Amino acid sequence: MSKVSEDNWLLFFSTQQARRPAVLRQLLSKRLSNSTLFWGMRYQWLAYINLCPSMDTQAFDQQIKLLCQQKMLLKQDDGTVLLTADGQACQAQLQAEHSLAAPQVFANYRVYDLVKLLRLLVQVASEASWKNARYYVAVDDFECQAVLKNWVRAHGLRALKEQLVTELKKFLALEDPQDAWIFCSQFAGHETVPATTKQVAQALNISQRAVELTLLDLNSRFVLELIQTNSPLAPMITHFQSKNALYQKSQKTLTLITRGFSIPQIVQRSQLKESTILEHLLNAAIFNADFPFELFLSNTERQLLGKILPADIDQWQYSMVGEYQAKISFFKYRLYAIWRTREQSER
Amino acid sequence: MNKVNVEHELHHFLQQKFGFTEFKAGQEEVITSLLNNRSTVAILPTGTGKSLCYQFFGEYTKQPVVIISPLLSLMQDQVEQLRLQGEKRVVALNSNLSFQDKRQVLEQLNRYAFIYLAPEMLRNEAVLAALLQLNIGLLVIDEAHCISAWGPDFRPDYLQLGQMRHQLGDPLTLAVTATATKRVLADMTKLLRLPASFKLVQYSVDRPNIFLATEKLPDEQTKKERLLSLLKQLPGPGLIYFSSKKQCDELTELIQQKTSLHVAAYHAGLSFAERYAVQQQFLTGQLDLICATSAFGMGINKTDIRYVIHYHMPQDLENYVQEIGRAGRDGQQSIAIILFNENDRFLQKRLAFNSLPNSDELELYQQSPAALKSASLESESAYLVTRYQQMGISFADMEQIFTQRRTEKLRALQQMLAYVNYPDCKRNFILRYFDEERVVKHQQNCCQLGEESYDLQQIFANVDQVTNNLPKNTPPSRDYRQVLQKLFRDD
Repeated sequence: MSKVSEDNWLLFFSTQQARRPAVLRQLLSKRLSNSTLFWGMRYQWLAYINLCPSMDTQAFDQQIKLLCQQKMLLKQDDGTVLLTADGQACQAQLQAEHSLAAPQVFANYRVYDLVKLLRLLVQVASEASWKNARYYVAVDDFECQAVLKNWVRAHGLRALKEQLVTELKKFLALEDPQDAWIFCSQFAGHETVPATTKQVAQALNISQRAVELTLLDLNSRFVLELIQTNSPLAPMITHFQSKNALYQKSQKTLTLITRGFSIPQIVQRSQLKESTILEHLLNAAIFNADFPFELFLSNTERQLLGKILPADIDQWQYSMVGEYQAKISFFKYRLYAIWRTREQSER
Repeated sequence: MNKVNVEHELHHFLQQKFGFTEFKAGQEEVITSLLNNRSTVAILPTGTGKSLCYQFFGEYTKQPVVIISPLLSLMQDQVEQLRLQGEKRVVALNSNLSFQDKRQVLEQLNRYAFIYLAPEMLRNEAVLAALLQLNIGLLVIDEAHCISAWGPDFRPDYLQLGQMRHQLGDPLTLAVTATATKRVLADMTKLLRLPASFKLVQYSVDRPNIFLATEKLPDEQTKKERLLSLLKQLPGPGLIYFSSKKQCDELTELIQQKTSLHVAAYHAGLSFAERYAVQQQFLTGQLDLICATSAFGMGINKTDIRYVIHYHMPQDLENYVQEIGRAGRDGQQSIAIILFNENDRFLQKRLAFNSLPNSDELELYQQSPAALKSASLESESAYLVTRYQQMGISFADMEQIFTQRRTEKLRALQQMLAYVNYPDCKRNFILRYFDEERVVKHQQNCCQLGEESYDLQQIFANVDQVTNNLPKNTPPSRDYRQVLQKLFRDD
C-alpha cells in the first residue's frame, strides 16, 4: 500500500509561522478536537484530515524530533516548530517531486481501502476479459470483495470491464504519461504482475517517496472523478465514504440554531451538555464559510476584542481577555478568532 | 465397492477435480483413513501437499471442512490457493475481518465449504454457536505441533482445542504437521482428545535431493563476502532466510549492487500488496532470488527452487527443516546452506527469550494491569501475558509455563548448534532428532561432513540449467496504454 513517508512532514511547515507538530499528528490521524481543528485552520491544514488514518503516532513524534536534530526544523520554547533554511530547500525539492492535488478526498472517503478496491476491480475485470477463472487474488479484503460481488451481481462482469476501461482511459489521457504508467504499475491481472514502489522508483530513477505520492494522488483523484461524474462504478466508491460523526453533529446543531432554537433549548432537546453544544458550534464555524457569527458575537464584542488582542492571531491566549472574561466567554473568544481567521484568508 | 474400485475412483476424482494424475506420498493414505471415518494424524514433510488431503475430503464428500490455522498469513495463503483452484466457497474468520464482515460471514456460514479459523476465534460464542449449526464433516488442526509446549512453536490458544473439539461434538479430525518428535506427537493426540483408534500417517522428514551444508564464518564481513560468492556460483532460483527484517533489506541492497541477480526482499514489514507483487514476480520467474524472513514461504509452491541459504542460523530444527523444504520440490538436486557466525547464537537466544516474559515482568504485570495493557500494544511478551490471562491462566501457572518454554527453546537452540557443529552425516542427525529409526547411508550429494569443503559444480552436475526468457523486475512496457491493452482484451 502506498503511504505518506516521513520526509513529507516538511511540506507542512513554514519559515514564517511557528506551527505545532502535535496538531498535524492529530489531523492526519483524524483525532479531532475543536482545538485541533482551530489550529488546523490557522495553519491551513484542514484539507489533510485523515491523510494517514493508521499513523504510528509515536513514530511521527520521533520523526519530527529527527527533523529537528537534522536542523530541518527548529523547535521553539512553546513546542511549536519553524522550518529552517535547510528545511526550506528540502521542502522545495519535495514540492517539485509530486503533491496531492485532492487531499480532501481522504477526509471524506477511506482512500486506502479504495486503493485496494481499485486493484481488485482491475484484476477481476482483466482476468474476466481474458476468460480466466483461476487466478491468485491480489486483494485479501473481505469488504472489497463483497462490494464488488454485489455490483457484479447487478451489472455483470462485462459491464465492469467496459466501464472501468472507459473511465481509466478518460482519466489517464489527461495525466502525465509517466504518472499514468506509475498508476498502472500497481495493477495485477492477465499476465500482468504488479511492481513494487521500490522497483518502479529504480526503473524511473526517481525516489520511492515520489512514486508513493504519485500513486496516492492518482488513486484519490481517480475515485473522486468517478464520484463527481456519477460513474456507474460510483456506488462501489461511495460505500467507502467515511462516517464523519463530528461533522454531522456540528451540522445538526447549526441547523437547529438557524431554525431559531436557543442553546438551552438544544441542550434540552439533545440531552447533551452545554459545553458539547458550544463545541459543535465552534466546529461548525470552522467547517462552514457562511456560519452566522452575528448570532453569537455583537459588534461591540468584536470591537472590544479587536482592541485588547494583538494583531497576530497565533499569539492570542484567552488569558489576554483579562478583566473582560466575565463578559467574553471562551466560546465567544474562540469564535472571534475563527471569524478573524476567515476574514484574513478572504482578504 | 472393492479396494481397487475405490482407488480407481479416488484417482479419477483427483484428476478431475485437482488436475493431478498421482497422489503424493501419504495423501491417499490420509484420505482413505478419513473416508473410513477414522480421525487421523498426518506427519508429512513440507511440500507433500498436506492441504490437498482435506480439500479432497471436502470436495469428495461435499461436507463442510473447518480448518484451525495458527497464522494469518498461512490462512490467507491457503484461502487464496483454494480460490485459485476454482473453489469460491471459502472464507477465513480472523482478526482481519471487521465486526460487520464477521457478522455477515457467520450469518451465512453454511454457504461455505471450507472455513478457516484462527484458534482464538473458537472462544467467541457467536462463532461457536454458528459452528454448532453446521454439520461439520471434518475438523482440521493445521500445524498441530503448536499444541505441544515441548515443541518450538507452542501456541497457548491451541491448548483449548481439545475441549472445543468436544463442544463441537467430537467431529472427525485431521491433525496435520510437517514435523513432530514422539513427545510432541503424544501431546497432540492427548490434548486434542483424539480417539484411541486414530490413524497415524507419518513420512520421513528426509529430502534426499537436498544437499546439506553449514559454513562457519569468523565475522559479518566474511559472511557477506561468502554469500555473494555463493550467489555467483549457485544455479537459481533461490531463497535466503534472515532473522532480522533490517538485515534482510540491507543484504537485498548489497546483492543488487554487487551481482546482476534480480532480487527482492520479503518480510512482514511490507504491505500485502508489496508482498503479493514480490511473490508473483518470483513465481513467474521475474526474480532470481528472494531475501526473506520466516514470513515467506507458506503456501508458496514453486517447484524449482535450487537453494535455500540461512544467513542466520534458525532457532530450531523444526523450522529449519520446514524452510529448507521449499527447495527441490521438483525432485532435482538442490542445496541448503547455513552461514553460521558465533553472533547468531546470541541473536537467536535473544529473539527466543524476548518473546517470553521473565519473572520480574510477570510480577510487574500482575501488580499493575495498566502497565500490562499499555505494554501489550508494543511488546510481544506482554501481549502473550494478556492472551494467557484471557484464557484464564493464573500468573503462577504462567511463570511455570514460561520457565518450561525457556528451557525448551534453549534445548532446541542447543540442538541447532549441535547440528551446525556436527562432524558426521547431517542427514542422520536430523533423522535422529525427529525420532526416526531409519539411518541413511552417507554418500555423494548427501551432505557436507563436518567442515570439509564441497564442490557446487559436482553437486549440481546433473541439474539442467533452465534459462527463462521472462522479462525481469520491471513491467515490460513503460507505456500505460500498452499495460491497459495487455490487461483488458478488446472485444
